[in-house]
Amino acid sequence: MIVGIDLGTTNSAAALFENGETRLIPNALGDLLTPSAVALLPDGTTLVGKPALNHWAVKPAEAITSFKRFIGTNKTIKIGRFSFRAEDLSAVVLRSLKEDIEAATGEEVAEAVITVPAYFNDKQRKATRRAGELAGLKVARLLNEPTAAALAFGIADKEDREPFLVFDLGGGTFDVSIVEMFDAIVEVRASSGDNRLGGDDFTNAIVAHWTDQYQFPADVRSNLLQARLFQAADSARKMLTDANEATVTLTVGGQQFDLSIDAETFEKLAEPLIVRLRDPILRSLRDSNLRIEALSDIVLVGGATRMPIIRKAITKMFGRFPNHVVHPDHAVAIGAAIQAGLVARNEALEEVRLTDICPFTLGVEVTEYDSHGRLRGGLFSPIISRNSPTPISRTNNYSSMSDNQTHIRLNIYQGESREVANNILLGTMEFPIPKKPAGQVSIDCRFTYDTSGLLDVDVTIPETGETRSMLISDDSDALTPEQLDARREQLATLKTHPRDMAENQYVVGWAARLYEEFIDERREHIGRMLLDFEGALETQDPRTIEQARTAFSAALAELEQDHRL
Amino acid sequence: MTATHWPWTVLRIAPTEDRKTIRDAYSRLLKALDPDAATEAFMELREARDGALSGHFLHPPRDADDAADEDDFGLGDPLPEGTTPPPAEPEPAERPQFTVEYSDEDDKRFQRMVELFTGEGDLAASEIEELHAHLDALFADDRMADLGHYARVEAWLAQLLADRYPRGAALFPRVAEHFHWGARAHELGIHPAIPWLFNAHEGHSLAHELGTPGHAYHREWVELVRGKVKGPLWLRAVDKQRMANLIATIRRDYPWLEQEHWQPDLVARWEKKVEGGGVSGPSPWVWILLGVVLFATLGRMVGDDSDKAFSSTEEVVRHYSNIESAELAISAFLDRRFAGSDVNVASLRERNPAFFEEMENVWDIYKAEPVSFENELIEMTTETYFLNLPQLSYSLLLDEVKYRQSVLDILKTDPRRCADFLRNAHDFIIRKDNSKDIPQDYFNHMLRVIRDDIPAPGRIPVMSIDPASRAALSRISASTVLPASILEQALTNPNTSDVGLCTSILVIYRHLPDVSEAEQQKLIVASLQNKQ
Repeated sequence: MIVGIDLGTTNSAAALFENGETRLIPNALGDLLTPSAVALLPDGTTLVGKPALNHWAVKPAEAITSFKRFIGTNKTIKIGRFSFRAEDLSAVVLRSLKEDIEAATGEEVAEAVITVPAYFNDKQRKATRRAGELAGLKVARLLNEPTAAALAFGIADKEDREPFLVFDLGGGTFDVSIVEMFDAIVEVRASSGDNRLGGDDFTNAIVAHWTDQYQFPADVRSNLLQARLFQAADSARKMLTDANEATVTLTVGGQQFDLSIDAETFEKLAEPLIVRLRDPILRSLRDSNLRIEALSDIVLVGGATRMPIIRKAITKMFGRFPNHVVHPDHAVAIGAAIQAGLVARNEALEEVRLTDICPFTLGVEVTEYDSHGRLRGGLFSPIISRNSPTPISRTNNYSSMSDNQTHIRLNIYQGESREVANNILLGTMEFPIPKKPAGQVSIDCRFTYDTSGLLDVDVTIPETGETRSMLISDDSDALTPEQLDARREQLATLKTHPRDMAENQYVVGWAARLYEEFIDERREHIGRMLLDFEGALETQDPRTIEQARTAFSAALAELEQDHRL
Repeated sequence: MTATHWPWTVLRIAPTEDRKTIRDAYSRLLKALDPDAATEAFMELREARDGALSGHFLHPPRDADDAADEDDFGLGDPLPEGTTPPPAEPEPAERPQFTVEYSDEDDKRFQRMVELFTGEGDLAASEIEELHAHLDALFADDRMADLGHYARVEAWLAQLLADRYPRGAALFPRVAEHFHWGARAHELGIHPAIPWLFNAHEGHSLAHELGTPGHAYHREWVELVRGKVKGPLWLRAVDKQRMANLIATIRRDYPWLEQEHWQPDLVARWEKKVEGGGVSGPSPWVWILLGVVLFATLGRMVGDDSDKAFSSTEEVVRHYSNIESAELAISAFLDRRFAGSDVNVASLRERNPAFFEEMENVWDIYKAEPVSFENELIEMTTETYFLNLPQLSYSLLLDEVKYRQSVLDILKTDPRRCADFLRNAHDFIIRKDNSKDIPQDYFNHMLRVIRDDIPAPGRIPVMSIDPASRAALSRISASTVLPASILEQALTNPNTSDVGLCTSILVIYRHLPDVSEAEQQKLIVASLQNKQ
């Protein structure tokens, strides 16, 4: 069975394609969305999703969120005494989703289609694929998130559509794709984006505003306060969806703050972020050679598009109202499931085809002689130009630079600038060449970009007939299969919290968070209830536990309700 | 991407213009193949479809001239003879085509902007101001939120600027900044003229710098523009290597500068000299020239200090000869460089002992080199002063403004140096060739402040850097011709143009009395920030 997984910055979701329909899979708590948060208790037990978020609000040093922003980098994230890379944490989330699906279907899950932001570069894509492998999933395909949303949108009625624009603003990334549909072929014409812009940035704008406005205790930089502030700002941002003003109560170090923000202030704070939405849209329109009036629809995807300010900005930008047909949080997972169905050659999708594009230019660094015989180094020689349909394979020929040159070092870049310094270095390969006068040795450099958006580089030296494949010197990519296995085992030693305990753990975490938030008699009340519930857990009698849990959650929900008002 | 093959054989249909037929054929063939397994076949199919849809394979290729023959508002020859014109672009017409509504007033504005651009010679200051005002209105317009409108205004301005370069050059930095061209310049898609405009802008700035005495290549540049520099023989020495460098750099990066400025015969002569020197080895003349260069360098080392504040080395050496103690040296320094100041060794030591001690250290280090000693102390003084500036009391800030105004009055005819001064006063002042433009009073004031007001840092709270209010700026702008937005730009935006910065700050200083004291303070603090 192949499943579709939306591995988001803020939330993740899993979906299946069965009997001609897509179905989202609920997690252990019965939710369709699992927050992409991981907590690691000192005993090595991991928590994923809401329980992890609760834990984060209490002990931020032992939990992490929004780690997708670091995927594909060498950044190590320390949680307690363990250190991880972003891909390890993604693997933990994937493993939890995998367990949810297995629990829901009773079948083993071996393969998955995982979505990535269209503007993810090769490193980020390869890291995502490794995350899948670390979680014990064969990654059947990586799918661009806006493409997935377009599939979900287009497949609904399989009608032909003039080009429409998918506007995908998630928690951490922003993507734009222009997609067309005819005869059940979904064709992506152009994609662009900003992989450092998302809902989190809007929340951080509120955090920064509050830090200016209120006198927080001196250790305002501390992790705990930052984590709590972020959560408060995030809920305030969500409240602003329906209200003109939001007030959140935050208790830090015995002090209580009534943090408030109104829609107008928020709009002002968000202005510099909104401006950044413009360039990717214009670029994708130019690349697909379309005028803005030619778009038949604007499809909104991603939780951050719920914000009224975003909708307002879109309405202004395009001079019309966006389309709300697809569910902003579910569309990507549903599209991933459809792609999974396509890969599995599901009968219901027999007529459907998807063609995607490569959203950036790929090439190598070269040195050229200018018209005055002067050497000019650091130039970019494109091999695959952006928005070429995938899969694609192109070859360019390059020759040696100096007499008796013994090696060629090939730097592979992604980007649009003439100078490689402004582009992203994807990797380097170095290989020996026969000694000859300058220019007499030539190499054929072949770039292959597959439907998952992964790049392969092969170099052939026609003279010797020798062929080499990309060996990236960057250590993040240099994992051998054995190393990968070793790391997988290492991750496997982390205990997952027993599935049937997940709900209990969640309620306890919730109570712990509220306990910290209140300072009055309600705190005592929560403490007492917590003791009672732990007593119920001791009995190990499922029915007693369930009853106690229901009552406890209801009480907590009521308290929280009060609190928010 | 155009197909290299005849697309119709790949698509297995007869040539047609009907999009549906082409797409159907594509769809049928695509569904029969697996792109992952048959990449080449997929690429071929896709190229064939794009080629078929493009219509290029139905008719013989059209004549490219048809498209280029666009009305250019009758602007006449857009660029100087021989320069590479920016590629032709169908847009803009008289005004951009909008999806948003526009009124007669907008129409007039566009018309007026085109008129302003089409005049002869450089834009007058009043014309630049008017254009800035039009740009203000254009950029501040709510309709800019509409992407279609935005993109067309952008393309229209790019074309206008390129067509009339260098007449509209003063506006380029502002327009480029507004549309973030800096970050996107390599994207030819925005408008084909943009990379060209960047090059032109850089080139013009370079030409301006080269034309300013003091630039490392000034002599070589003048040599190629006007022939021999006037003056005694040894001053005219030109380094061949540098000449070769200059010629090659200009040709490589800004070839049009050569056509605009250089005398072809002078360049040809120099090229020959540069080449000849490299092949035939040094002739006796070269040795003489070398000697001359050596002499000239010596002369420069000696002679550069010969302005008001920096007198010749011998004089300095004489001045400090036979001085043994640091105290006497400092006293001599104060006499020489702070003439007319009431600051003396005793008062300095008493009120700012830390600074005085530093001065003594400098003497210990530079005992043997009086010139360096003086320069070091001057640098120390200005640096200490400017570092502490944000902590000074309001009345001292007013003094600072007064002195700045006097410097600006001297520099206002030279926007580049004027802006340099405003962007980083300290760096400007310590550059030797600038010191002649700094009134002695200003120097004296700095030292006095160091003596009397700086010893206890932190005594006065660091001034808040509240942004200056728009209301204050608009009050100032009401009594001048500059719009408030330009004034605000000058205070906040580090990329403000030289002219903009210079005029705005002058205007703000002059009209300070028009606003309340609290606002004055904010404006002053904002204006004193280094803008780099």
